[in-house]
Amino acid sequence: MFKKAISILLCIMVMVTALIGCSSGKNTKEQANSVEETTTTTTENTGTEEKKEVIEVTTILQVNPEIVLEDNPVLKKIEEDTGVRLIVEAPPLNDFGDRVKVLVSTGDMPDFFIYGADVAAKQWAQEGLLADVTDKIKDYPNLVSNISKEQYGDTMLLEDGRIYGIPRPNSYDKWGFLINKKWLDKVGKDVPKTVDEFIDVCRAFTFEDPDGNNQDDTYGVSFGAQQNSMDSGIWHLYNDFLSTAYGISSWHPGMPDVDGSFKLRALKSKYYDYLTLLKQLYSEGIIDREFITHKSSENIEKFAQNRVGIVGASEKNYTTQIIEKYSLNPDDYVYAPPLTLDENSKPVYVLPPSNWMAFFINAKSDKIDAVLKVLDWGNSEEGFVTMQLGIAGVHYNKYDIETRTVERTKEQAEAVAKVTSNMMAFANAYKGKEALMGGSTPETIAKWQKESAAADAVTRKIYTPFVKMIDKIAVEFPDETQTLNSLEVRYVTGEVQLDELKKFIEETWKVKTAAIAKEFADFMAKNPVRIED
Amino acid sequence: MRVKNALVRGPGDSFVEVFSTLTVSVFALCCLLPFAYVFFVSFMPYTEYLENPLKVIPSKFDLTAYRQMLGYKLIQSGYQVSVFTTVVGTILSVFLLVISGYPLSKTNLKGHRFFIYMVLFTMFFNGGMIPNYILIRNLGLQNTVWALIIPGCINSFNLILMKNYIKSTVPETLEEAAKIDGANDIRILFSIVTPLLKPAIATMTVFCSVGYWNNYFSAMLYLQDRKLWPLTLVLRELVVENTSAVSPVTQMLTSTHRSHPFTLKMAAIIVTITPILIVYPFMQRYFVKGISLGSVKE
Repeated sequence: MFKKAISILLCIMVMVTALIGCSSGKNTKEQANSVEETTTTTTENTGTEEKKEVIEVTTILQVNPEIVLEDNPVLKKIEEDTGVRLIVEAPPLNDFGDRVKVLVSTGDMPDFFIYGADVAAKQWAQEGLLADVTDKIKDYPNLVSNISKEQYGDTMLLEDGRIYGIPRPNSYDKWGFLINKKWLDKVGKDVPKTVDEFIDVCRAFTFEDPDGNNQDDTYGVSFGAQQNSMDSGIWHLYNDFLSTAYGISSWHPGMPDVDGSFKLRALKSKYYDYLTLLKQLYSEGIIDREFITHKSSENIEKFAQNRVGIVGASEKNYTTQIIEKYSLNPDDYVYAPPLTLDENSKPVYVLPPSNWMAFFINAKSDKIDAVLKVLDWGNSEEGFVTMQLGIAGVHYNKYDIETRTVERTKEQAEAVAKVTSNMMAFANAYKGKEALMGGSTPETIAKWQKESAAADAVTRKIYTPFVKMIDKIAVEFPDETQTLNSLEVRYVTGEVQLDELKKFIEETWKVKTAAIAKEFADFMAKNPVRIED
Repeated sequence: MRVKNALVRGPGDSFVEVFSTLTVSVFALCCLLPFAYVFFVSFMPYTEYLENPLKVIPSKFDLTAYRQMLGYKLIQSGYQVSVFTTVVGTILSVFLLVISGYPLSKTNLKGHRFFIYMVLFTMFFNGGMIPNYILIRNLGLQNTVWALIIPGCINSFNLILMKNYIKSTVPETLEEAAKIDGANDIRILFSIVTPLLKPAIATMTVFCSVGYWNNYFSAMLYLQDRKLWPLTLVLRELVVENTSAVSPVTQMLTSTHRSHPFTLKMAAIIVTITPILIVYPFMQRYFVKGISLGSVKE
């Protein structure tokens, strides 16, 4: 009897322990829902009691793993300035989209979250899950001044002209290329301007031992690649410095064809010419043949490792994202504008409005105004600088918003990486520019200013609208999309002939996508591109 | 007539032996070399790696990557969570496997067939991610370490193994003898049967601990608080730089702004795999036994 009693007691203890364990991590949503709290703070100097309302708002943000959210000074600053306490959930970045989808599907949506303005967001808007903020934006001055009408086009998810989210503004990406100047000097060539010169330089970089180590271990160029549901590995913005010469921008469909019309990529006049050029580079072995399976920025790593001499680069950050990140000597590298087919043509930058995802607000949230207040703060000068660079005096000593330069120690730079990042910020550009531009030393900044200005002076800028309907192709015709992707790659690698690719595009792909192609052409007619020379 | 002794070694045997040794050595090298590469590169200065990414032995041992990585708070909390879930989860799993495997091994148990089918059913059919998520949420386990432990506590495959092992190892006469001596079912299970299950328990301990240590998906699904992330999830965050965003531009931007030096990734791998790697040699012999565990048919 006694043993039985002991057994029952032990069982009860195990259950109680488990229950205590279960309740130890309180659900943040529950925490947030329980509060629209009023905290009482005492001002030390006066001794008077000041009542300050703090509204708790739940959110899902993209946060780098090195950032610590507990007692985060940037989140505290947001609370101080706006009266809104953010309860941040930071899912793993690798599974970010899946996590958001689970929460939306199960009705556990936070008050607001960051996500791409893509087909999933469109579906949520159709289902009435996302708040329509069209009429509220005007009440928030920074959401009006720092985010252009064109940028809001990204979150006009449906065809009703309504805005279903606040874009996170980014600066324009202008894609040119970076070339190894030491190698150029070694092989006695100039920075290429045309595609023919580019091929010539690639050959020299591949076969003339530009690094002087007596080994056949270099290539002319490496491309970026990114496997996704829409494209094969031959398309990437890193490659636009070459493809724009053929009237094609990898992911910006708003680039007009050489005759000025608007067509889907595979139907453009010089689509086959571009693929044939890649095939030529591939068969000659003057391109890094692994490029088709590259992930992330492997092409840049190869460039930094002196295995390739040319790599696509964004004009706005090639100094920070390539030269400084990989500790390269700035004097050994030159940034150049995109290539052209002949000397009489102008290089082209394709510039759609630049956003980096968007913030969507739960339609059922009763804190929509608090969310907009926070986002408005994030788009103000103070909010932008705080979320990008941390707290003044702690994470930096001096910042000049005009020149976008900062004075900070190495320790301060390391410390700020643990409290905020441009991925976590509510705006990645203020008045069209990022927080830091050109580099971390006056010499690098001067070099960047000179090279980017020189490239700007000779390029044609094509400002395009957001084009959403193209995304539907991969969703509505996944099999045909995969077939096209496969044929493109196999043509470039020499496994299939051009006729087979052409036959598929003409007889199958073109027919299937006709309605979307027409919708696209009609959209572009209504939303014309703006060209600046 | 003299019968040829089958145990006498001929030249063919030596050839087979040499061939087998060489083949096994090649496979062993294929397994070991990547580990060696990861280990040495984790101690290599990043600039040296960039100069020659195929270089294996660093010119000097550099601890920068380890210093940088161990400075991450998530690594520290990840270690605690992983150790806790592995230890507690394994103890709980093995305990539950024993107490459920034992009754299921008895064919005279009321509803024996029903319970066996219920277990088998879960091996082939699953509610899916969203129903599982809703279940965990409604049970109040969401955002607790128990969400990492309880859903995987009883693995049906392991349960079948345990049931079969008990059935094939423990003679019924032994239990009958214990009953005659006055022992009840609980006493028989813990005093008579369990000591006979040591090999099975050891094997299950290895299976469960490896499973718990490597699990990251439940954490991704059920946890909101990053302090509760297990080490494997932190490692995945540092090493893998994908994003599930649909837009390629978004993918590119996100990847670019979160890339970590290769040496740091290698250091993170070493730190993550070392604890579980240490467990292996001690448990290896049980792993071998585990291959044939429960393989005797009913």
